[in-house]
Amino acid sequence: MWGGTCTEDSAWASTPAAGKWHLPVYQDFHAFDLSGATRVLEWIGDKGDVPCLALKNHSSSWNSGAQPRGTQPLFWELEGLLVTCSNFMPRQHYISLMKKDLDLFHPSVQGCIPMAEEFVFALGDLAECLDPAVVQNLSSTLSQLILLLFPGILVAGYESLKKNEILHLILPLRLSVKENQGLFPERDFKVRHGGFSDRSVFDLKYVPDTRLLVTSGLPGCYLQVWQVAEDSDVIKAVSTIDVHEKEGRLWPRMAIFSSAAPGVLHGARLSSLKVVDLESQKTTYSSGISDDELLSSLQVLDADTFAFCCTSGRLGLVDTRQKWTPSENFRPGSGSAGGRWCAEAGGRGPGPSIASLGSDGQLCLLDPRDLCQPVSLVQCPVSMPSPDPELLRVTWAPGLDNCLAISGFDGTVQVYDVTSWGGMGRQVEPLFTHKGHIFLDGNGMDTAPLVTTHTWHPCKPRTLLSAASDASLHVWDWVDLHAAR
Amino acid sequence: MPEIRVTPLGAGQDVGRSCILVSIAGKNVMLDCGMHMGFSDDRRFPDFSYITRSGRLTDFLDCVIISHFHLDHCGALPYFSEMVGYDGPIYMTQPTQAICPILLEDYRKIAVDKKGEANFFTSQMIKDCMKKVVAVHLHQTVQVDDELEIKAYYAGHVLGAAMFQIKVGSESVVYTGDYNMTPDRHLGAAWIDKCRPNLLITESTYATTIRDSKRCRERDFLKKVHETVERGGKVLIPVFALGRAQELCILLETFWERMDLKAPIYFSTGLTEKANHYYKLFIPWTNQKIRKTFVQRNMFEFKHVKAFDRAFADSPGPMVVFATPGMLHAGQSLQIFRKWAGNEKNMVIMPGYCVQGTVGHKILSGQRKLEMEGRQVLEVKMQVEYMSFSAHADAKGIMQLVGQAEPENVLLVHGEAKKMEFLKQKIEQEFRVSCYMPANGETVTLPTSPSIPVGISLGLLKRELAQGLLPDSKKPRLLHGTLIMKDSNFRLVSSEQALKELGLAEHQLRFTCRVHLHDTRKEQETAVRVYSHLKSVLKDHCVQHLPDGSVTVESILIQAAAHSEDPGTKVLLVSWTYQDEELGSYLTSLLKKGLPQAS
Repeated sequence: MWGGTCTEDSAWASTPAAGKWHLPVYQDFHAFDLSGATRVLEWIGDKGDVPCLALKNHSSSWNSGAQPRGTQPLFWELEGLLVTCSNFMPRQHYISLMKKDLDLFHPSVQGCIPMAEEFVFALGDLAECLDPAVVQNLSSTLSQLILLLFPGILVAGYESLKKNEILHLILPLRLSVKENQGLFPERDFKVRHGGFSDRSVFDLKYVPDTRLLVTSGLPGCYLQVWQVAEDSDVIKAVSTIDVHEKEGRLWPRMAIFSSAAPGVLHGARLSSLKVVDLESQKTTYSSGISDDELLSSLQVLDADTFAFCCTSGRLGLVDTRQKWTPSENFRPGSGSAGGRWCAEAGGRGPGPSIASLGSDGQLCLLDPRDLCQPVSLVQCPVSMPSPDPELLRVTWAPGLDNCLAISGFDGTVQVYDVTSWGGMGRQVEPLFTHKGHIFLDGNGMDTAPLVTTHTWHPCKPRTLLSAASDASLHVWDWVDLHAAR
Repeated sequence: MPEIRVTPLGAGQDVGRSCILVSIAGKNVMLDCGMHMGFSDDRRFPDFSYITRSGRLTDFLDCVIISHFHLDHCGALPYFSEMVGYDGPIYMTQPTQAICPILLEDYRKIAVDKKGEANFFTSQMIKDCMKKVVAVHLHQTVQVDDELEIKAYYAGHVLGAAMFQIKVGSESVVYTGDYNMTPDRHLGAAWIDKCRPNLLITESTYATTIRDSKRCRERDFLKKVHETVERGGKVLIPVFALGRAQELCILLETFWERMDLKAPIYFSTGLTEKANHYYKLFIPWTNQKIRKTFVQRNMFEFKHVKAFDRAFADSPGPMVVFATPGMLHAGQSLQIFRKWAGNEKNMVIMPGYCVQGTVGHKILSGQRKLEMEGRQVLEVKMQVEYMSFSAHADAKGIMQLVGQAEPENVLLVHGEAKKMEFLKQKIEQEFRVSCYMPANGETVTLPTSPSIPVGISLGLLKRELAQGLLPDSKKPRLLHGTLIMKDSNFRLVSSEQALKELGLAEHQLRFTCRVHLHDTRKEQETAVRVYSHLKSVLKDHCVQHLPDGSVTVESILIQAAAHSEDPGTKVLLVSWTYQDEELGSYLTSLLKKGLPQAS
């Protein structure tokens, strides 16, 4: 039954104001069941560039013939329906559907964007009492459009000894637009492309501006390159990139240098770090050092630099144009022996922009200009050290200042505001804790699932996606109840 | 070679106007006869000319089967039977038989009265068409004629929805119609036994969809209703008498109970009676919980949901009203809508699809100024929401059903096949079956291997049993016997019995081989050496040294003889029957290696 008891529902969000009923805690909440648990949540489409769909106001009509100002509108003519899309404002795409009538394009009957007129019905979940039809031609052509406009996400199974699915999912319209104006009946993910991997997929990267994906996993120390087919919904294995590593339990970490000739940065240890050109498979960079410390995360920062983090917590920034002389931080903090670490760079707003997370819940913030001295080192309230440090994740919010999320300790995702953090050893409290993976199932008997990964929506600032070991995938909005009061 | 042919006339790589022709062992069956809601021209109905080319429909078709009452599965039925002309039997479940004419009449009214369409079927045609319907029960095997039989399975989806098994002799096809593999608040989940059909024709509307959980969907609905009621607004939910209305009522009832809410919930009067009537009538079609509690409490008699009276619409304060019809094209729902539309505090939630030309369709398209009768313009200030609560199987559900039925082949209809290559691969990989997705008018032909019944003699089976090892149903086991084909009758008997019956003498085939051994001793001693060697090597076999000096291993005979020319060499004669070929050749190869030196 829905909700079960009130306490269960209010427990989804751990806030001081755990009132009787907590519906408003989430603005939006979606839960999906995948066919296998995923450790991968990779956005397809360049993060900063995922077009956000903005709806033009119904009342302000758009004269036929008049073109919107802005740079180079895009046009598609589909089955007598003209679709225009222009980046009228920076980072906002205006889309309009017009009907062709007497060889002239008119905005369709009710003004300019009756989204519901074609879109909702073409995409719509239309089966109700009358189980109606989707206009066939329209839906097939419009789905091309969706691919162009709507953010997608890649997920991949990581089970061993089994075929794992790699899926390219399209987010429903209501999770793609910035402002949810209602009237989007569709709230399901669509499988746009899919493929099968014989190995478990631990990491997957999309190569921007191509149809290529690269995966890393076990068994076998190599990277698999995949191609997303253009004419069908299949993801095919195309080639492999060998990685030299003797230890069978290690798998290479990776990151993508996207440029005209995209390259894969990969390595299981500092000594084996390499950049391989995807097309020619030639090595264009290698660290050339003998230090064989194990890597936990790699991140490309710009065309020439990348950041690495070792399992020991040691992290550094490397310029590929120079010989190996990274600016480094060797010890994340005092007394953090034995723990494993991961890191992410990219914090927005003033303040430190690199965060590294230890398996015992220590969170260290650093300024990339001075890695030697951490800006702050705090203790997050985790009940126990991470049971599987491979699942540790720390991510910066792309749309909010000084905001990050962590997971990998239990069935929760915690969101923090780091603005007022300073000094060493402080205890901090999360702004918000997502407990849906524990409570949505309703069977409190089983061991709670472990969150395997999470990611921020690229253009909805307060929306996160999180996946757990029970193959659940949640999309949720959080509300800062402290600020709301 | 017998074959099964399938041709979708509608719903092939498409959603809407489901209509699939199946030819199985010389019988022609039409599965569903739906209309396409997206068109108002010829494309609205399936292209029956594909069948009429070959003569009268009644002569060609052995029967028509309707899976459930949704118009995209039964909407073309009166057109097909009364206007094109079909007089054969039409099979459907009892709830479908009861509800389908109501929906057809509703739709006819919209098409003719609202959209002004000519050349549409009439009310009388709907009545005449329904006279040709034969009702079937769940799991009841209906003999259409001597050879053709059909059987209905529970499909969930809507009240009375069924999956059908069509069987002629040993060949069978299962058609799912629309189905739902997760139970509802008022309906159960689809279920089928391991009937291993030659072909499973399954809908695939949501085949490429990963569905949001029901709880999240419901939470959103309740949140919207609750928020509106909290701020003193009125909520209108236009519904059809049957279908999601009951689902939503149960949902609100539980929520009101738990939250202790006081705002009244009303149900159009006609609606309650009609619905209660149908659900009482068809209680076996609802889910387990409702069936169980039905004796003490009818789940469709609500504590918080009360009958609506026209005057209530003007009462002040918050309320929730379920009213018919669902597309706001006439009747009570439209009256209430006109009263409430002007207040931005109010909300209308459309739980389903609306046909073009209806008020429901207009407001969902974002239209805010509506022209009503008498040139009156109605300004819509109230909030408009669209919540869909459809019950179809998603990718996971389809895989579940394929796993349940274990078909030899799978055919996908009622979905967009162009983008389902991945699903096809998934089904083929996981179940090792072939998967097809024909377009409309395209025929898929499946050769079926005819099954031939063979009688096995009891003696043979008993002998097999006596050899120990009880049969394991999961593992195939090899059985030797003689197949006798006589008078188109097949029997498997033991070879002895076959010989006896046919009056034949038994012939034996023996292999003999000579092995030369270097041994200066006497033949008898060589035989002893051979015996002890074989005894030590072949521990699992019965090795014997016979009084006549020969050695036997099971039924294989070994004799030692002197070489006629070379006294230093002995010749071993090894002889075995055809049946012991394996052991015989092993023995010779063993002996050819020589004997170990006597210590």
